Amino acid sequence: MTPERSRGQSPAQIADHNSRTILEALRRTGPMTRNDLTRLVGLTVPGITNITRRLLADGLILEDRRRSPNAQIPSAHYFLNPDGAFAIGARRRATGVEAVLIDLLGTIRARTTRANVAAAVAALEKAAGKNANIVGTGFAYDDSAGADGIALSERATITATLAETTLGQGAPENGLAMLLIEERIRAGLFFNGQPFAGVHGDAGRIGEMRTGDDRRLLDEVASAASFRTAGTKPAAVNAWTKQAALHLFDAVFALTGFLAPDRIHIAGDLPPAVIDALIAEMHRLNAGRQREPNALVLPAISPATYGSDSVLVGAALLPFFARLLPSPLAG
Amino acid sequence: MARARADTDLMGANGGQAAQHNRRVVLRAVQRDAPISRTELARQSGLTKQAIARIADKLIEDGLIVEARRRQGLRGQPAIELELNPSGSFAIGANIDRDHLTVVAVDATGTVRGRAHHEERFILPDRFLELMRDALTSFRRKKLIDEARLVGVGLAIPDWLGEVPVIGFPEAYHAWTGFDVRAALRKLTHHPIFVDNDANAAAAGELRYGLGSESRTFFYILANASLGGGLVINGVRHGGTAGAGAEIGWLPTGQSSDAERMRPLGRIFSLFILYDYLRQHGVDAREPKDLLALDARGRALVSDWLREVSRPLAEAVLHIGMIIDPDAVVIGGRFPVRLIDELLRYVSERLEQSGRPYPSIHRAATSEDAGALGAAAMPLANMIASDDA
Repeated sequence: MTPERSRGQSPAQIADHNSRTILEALRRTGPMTRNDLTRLVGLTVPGITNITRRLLADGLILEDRRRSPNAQIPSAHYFLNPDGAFAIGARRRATGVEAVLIDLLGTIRARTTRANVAAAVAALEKAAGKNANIVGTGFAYDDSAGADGIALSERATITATLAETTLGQGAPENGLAMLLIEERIRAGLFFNGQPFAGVHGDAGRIGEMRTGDDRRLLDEVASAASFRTAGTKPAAVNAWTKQAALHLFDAVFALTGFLAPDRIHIAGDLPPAVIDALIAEMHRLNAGRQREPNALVLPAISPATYGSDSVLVGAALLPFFARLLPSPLAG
Repeated sequence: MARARADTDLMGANGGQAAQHNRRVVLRAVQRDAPISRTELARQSGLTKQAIARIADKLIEDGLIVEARRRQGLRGQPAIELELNPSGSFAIGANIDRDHLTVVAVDATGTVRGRAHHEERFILPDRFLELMRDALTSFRRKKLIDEARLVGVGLAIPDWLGEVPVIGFPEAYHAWTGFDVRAALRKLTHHPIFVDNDANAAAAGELRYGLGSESRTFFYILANASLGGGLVINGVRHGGTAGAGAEIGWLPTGQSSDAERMRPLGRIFSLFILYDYLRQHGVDAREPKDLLALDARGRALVSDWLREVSRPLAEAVLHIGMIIDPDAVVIGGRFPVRLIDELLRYVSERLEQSGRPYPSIHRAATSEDAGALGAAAMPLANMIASDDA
């Protein structure tokens, strides 16, 4: 929803907003007293009490008495109940449907790969236990695979991005880009507090850029598919990494020029050591550039917090956004 | 999982904040979709008709909107439509660059009420302040704007003005480095001051007066004395880290040889580079208007140059499409309209030949005074700024 089209607020919407805000505050900050919450969220103590009472009754938060860092007397603290709610994130891949079960804190509690979505969901429901409060299933899709008829679905690039902004290093003020290196290379973008997929859903197609001196398609030289063809010999992996970094650098440079995100992360199917080597090589290339007063400054580039699980964990966040937490998704 | 980060988004909502929020929602809708009826406002905002009536009455009382155009409906009561009161607010916008200073006074609807323009090379800070003071005094004396309803003064100024080594850069121009333009302007006026780089300002102007009415996500390529870019995402200007977003000038241009490849777009495409190219071929042009008075040979040289520039520009547009997927890429600035249109023709041909999908590309609505109009749009936009953007 664009700010210009933003809507007015009714009392019911205000109550829902406040409940989600408190859960998010506890999720980010950890245990807090009613007074802490009042200060952070800007609501009255009775307002906070109403909401915490309902959240306690729903089992989403827990309460105990403990001492705050500078307090003499223990007081009631509220904190998220990790087992208060679960969600499933699923995705169709070449090997079948991959799925993870996460708890309210975003910790992966179980994972599976099955032939279809129903089987994957059933397996994770069983793993969660009979009385578990599973809020729902979110699905990550690639452009070609479609959403499998599941209502809660998002592009894989977007879910990987949301895993980082919600559970990983957070959403920086000027946004971030998540480079997802799989069979193809795409980027998920996050700006102004929400993911950005482009006007036609086609943003972040960096794999289609012609890069490097040889003007090759980035997908041909830096994708996971390209990595497999390089083989496993250290010398071959080394040579592949140098070539891939050289081409990826051009895409990162253009992306930085256009969008200037505060951070760039890399997720996907490459081994973690190869991602580290790619990043190191790009930093080396950057250091060799000529310096001018207004030259582009590359942002920090680092591996995604959830690594190759980023897409699935982000997909599992979708049910939480739909029901319990403030949603960064438009609409 | 607790991490240090800004918690400004962790705000609860209460009635008072909601009232302010709702007032801005209504004002924005009127600004954007005027003329608009109360019924339509209620439908768009999701607020009740009673709430809309209350807010509209207050906005009318404050002189920010007016009832206008009693439109006869098909049946029933005539619909009373609301629109911005042009004289409800005013703003001043200025654009300083290596070759000019333009100052405009605009009303709430963006109509220019006054304009002062100086076609001068490398204006120094002291001279800039003197010309600004003259312009403000002149607007005031001629009563072109209502001082009591002036919401602010905006300045569009290129980044690194005192450092980027453009052609003809004089030593004295380093005076801009470290010059606190905001503090200096504060001595001239007590109104709020808004400063942004010229391309961001141009994009803000386009958002409010041009393409913004139909497109919410676009990339603005500002071709002036030097090259700049501005980006609007979902109706919000995107500055990026240190405001460095849309920095199109540093894009490597993918030429064939190594040396050329690392030649950034900003070294290929700008007014000063065109003047220099013409000078090398014995043709004298120093101002945009000179470009319209060239003889046949001069015109042919300009066409050659535009064709050459279109190649890296087309690639930049392709990349903007792949990375951002905007509604459109627009080109504006002080290049004469005729030249921008010719360049767009060449760029479109190359994009067509590329056989790949590319975003629509056209001339900006606010071309020549894009920077100054955009600068004036900044204080006006701030008045109804989204509190939830």
